[in-house]
Amino acid sequence: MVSASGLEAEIKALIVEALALEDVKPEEIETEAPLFVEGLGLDSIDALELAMALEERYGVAIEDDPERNQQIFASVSSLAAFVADQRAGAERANA
Amino acid sequence: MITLSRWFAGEPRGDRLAAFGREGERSDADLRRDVAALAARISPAAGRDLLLHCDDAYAFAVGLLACVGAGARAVLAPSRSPEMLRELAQKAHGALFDGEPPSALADLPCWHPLEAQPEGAPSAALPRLVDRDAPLAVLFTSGTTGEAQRIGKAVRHLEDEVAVLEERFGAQLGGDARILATVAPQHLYGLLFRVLWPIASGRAFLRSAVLHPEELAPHSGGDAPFAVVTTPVTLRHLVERGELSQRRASCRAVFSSGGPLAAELAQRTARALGSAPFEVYGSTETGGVAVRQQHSGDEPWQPLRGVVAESDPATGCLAIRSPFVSAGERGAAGPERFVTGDRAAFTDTGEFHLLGRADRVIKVGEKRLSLPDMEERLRAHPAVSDAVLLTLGKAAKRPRSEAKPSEDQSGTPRVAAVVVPAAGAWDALAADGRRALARTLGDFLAGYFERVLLPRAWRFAAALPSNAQGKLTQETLRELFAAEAPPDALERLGAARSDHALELRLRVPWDLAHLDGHFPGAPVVAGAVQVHFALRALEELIGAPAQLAALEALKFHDVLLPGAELLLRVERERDRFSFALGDADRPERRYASGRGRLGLRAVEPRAGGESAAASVGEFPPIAELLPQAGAMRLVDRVLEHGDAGTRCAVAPSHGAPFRDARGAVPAWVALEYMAQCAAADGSLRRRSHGESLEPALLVGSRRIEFRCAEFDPAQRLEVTARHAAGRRELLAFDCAVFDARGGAALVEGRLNVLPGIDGRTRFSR
Repeated sequence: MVSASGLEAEIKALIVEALALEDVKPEEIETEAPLFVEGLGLDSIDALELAMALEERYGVAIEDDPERNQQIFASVSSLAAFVADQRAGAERANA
Repeated sequence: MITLSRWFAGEPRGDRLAAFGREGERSDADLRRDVAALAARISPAAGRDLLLHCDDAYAFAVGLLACVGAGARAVLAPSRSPEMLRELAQKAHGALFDGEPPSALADLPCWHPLEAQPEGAPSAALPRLVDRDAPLAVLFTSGTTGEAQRIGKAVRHLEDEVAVLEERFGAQLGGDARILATVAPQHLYGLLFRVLWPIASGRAFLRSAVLHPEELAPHSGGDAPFAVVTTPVTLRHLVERGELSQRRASCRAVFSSGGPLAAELAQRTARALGSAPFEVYGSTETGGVAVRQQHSGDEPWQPLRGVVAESDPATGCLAIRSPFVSAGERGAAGPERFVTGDRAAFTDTGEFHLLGRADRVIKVGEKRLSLPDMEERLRAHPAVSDAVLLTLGKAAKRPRSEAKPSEDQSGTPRVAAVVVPAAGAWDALAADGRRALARTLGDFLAGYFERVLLPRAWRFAAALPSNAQGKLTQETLRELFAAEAPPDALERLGAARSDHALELRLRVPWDLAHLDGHFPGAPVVAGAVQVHFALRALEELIGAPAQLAALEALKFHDVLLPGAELLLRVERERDRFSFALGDADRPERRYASGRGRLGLRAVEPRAGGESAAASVGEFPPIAELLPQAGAMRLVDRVLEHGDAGTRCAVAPSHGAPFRDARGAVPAWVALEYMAQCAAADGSLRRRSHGESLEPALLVGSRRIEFRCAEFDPAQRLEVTARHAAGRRELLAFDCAVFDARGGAALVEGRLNVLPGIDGRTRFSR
């Protein structure tokens, strides 16, 4: 079980790696800062790729729900909460 | 007013703004200090030739004045093209450049005019008075009529013209107008209007090379009064965007030179600003000749004070005598006379109407043809908004070396037409093609001219092509006809460059070769094609073939359709580069962006060896698997398909629309091979599930690595694609291109594909 802050650090590293961000180090990404437009300045193509990378890495499923996805992808902290939540759900289902 | 020869005797004024812009503000005192410091650094320089080229007009002014102070002559390099600089460097003793000194000047001492100097660095003792006959600068003609010529100007040529300009327009501008110029300082118009006149009259000038008309507004200093110095091409953009009219109250004058100003544009400008632009007629040789404001469109040109305009008895052309004329590299001591190539009709009061260029009456066979007459006819056709004719030299089938030279010269020039279709004619052009519209217009002209005189070649463009100075030149027109084959280039509407960046305004022609079969009935510019034009622009920027090591963060944001007007910007810093392709008028609408690295480490494709290209199993013909057809179907057939992915052979004629003059296909076309192989993989998978073929959209790639610069069209290639990640709307494929004889991958990378152009996605795009 990864701690919440450990998961956030993992996701920051994943963002930098999956999106091949230049001149950005994982630790420079602010946990609560917006990922899109402001903050890190990601765009919709980045969103698609990030979703793909999250699904590959964590086996989570991101549904067709633009409003919900806007919340999930708001920041590193909301992404980490979503991943942790999905995993907990998966563990309950397996239990 | 302070004349150039007495400028050094002037008192420094710390309170007077000399130049402004994003690069910072500089006062008259700063200017004098910077000039003295630079003069000390370049001394001794008396009698020497120094190349000068700066994007920052203030740096340019410092360089020019330091040359004057140190007794050197400034050679105003017309561009930063490496070939041009190498040639100029052979005759120069040094160079003054802002930005990184171009490598073509490696053998010359180079100075940045504004390089910070240590405290107490020497500054030169400058002469208080400069000899009016001292050579000041060498300029280059714009090449409207042919090869660029070197034209020398002495101090008096320029200061006398500045004095006449101030006398004619000074009251109109007022002492406080800021000068916003869109023209380069190294050509006579910019040299006088953007730099020398403002300095002499104490008006502040905008420093930056203004790339976009919209940049005029933020730099015009709030509500400060201003005057615009521009060309007809840029003026049209300014007026059409309405930015001038928003600032109507502060605009004191608009100057237009560099080409004929359409009466309609002059009137639109007058409506937007309350007064028509001042058109300036002149040339590098003659300096300013005459001025007019068009109200009805038929106003004659009024010669500037001191200018005598008359008809040359020998040629019937307009001849000019004035204190500003200097037609050779070493200007004569006294007033000179210069015969232009323009025909003119004089009024009783010494004013004149221009009747077009004399060299525009040509002989085709035994028949005479006035190109302006035919242009006027063409413009009268409802499908035509504007038209220009040119001659392309001899017929294409030139006799080989056994032919006598005299035969070659007696050949007939071919008339060619460049037409800007009227707004309503684009649909017809799209539906029926270039040939059909050319035939219609040819038949129309045949009602007035003999068939033998009609244009033999036609091009349709969104705007007449102008060079970086906004001038329509024979060279930019001929470029449109450079390829007799289907056009494989975007139409160039404008260009601006610095050492590190090149910005092009482009249009996607409806008959672009890269739309052939991509897709049948639904033309879309492929992502790989967008990358292709971006990297060709990069090659133009660096003046060498792009030895591409990697492409990174490649994104295709939106579908690019023919007819779109684009702004392409490429930047380069050492071995890194980036590009962005967007809509010319709506910057927020992006089509493609990416970055990458130069410095290829090539591998040799393995020589000899047998092909591994044997097919594994039977596969449907590629036409059933790919929506691409025609010249844009680049993969030939499926060789292998399974869980590990798909392997395809690249068509032997691969990349025809992408070939360069030598026939080589640049390695980045591999992007399209990969995309088509991935599409074939997807189609085979859908087939196996009984689903129908669905077009897919290339979204981009985080990284593609290159281990070769180009492919030989005779080279047999294979491409592989393996579905690596993604399940629904975004799929990732690991792809590679190999020589069919084996060896390491020549190109390798992961592509992101959006299956189904209209497919719903979880994120709005």
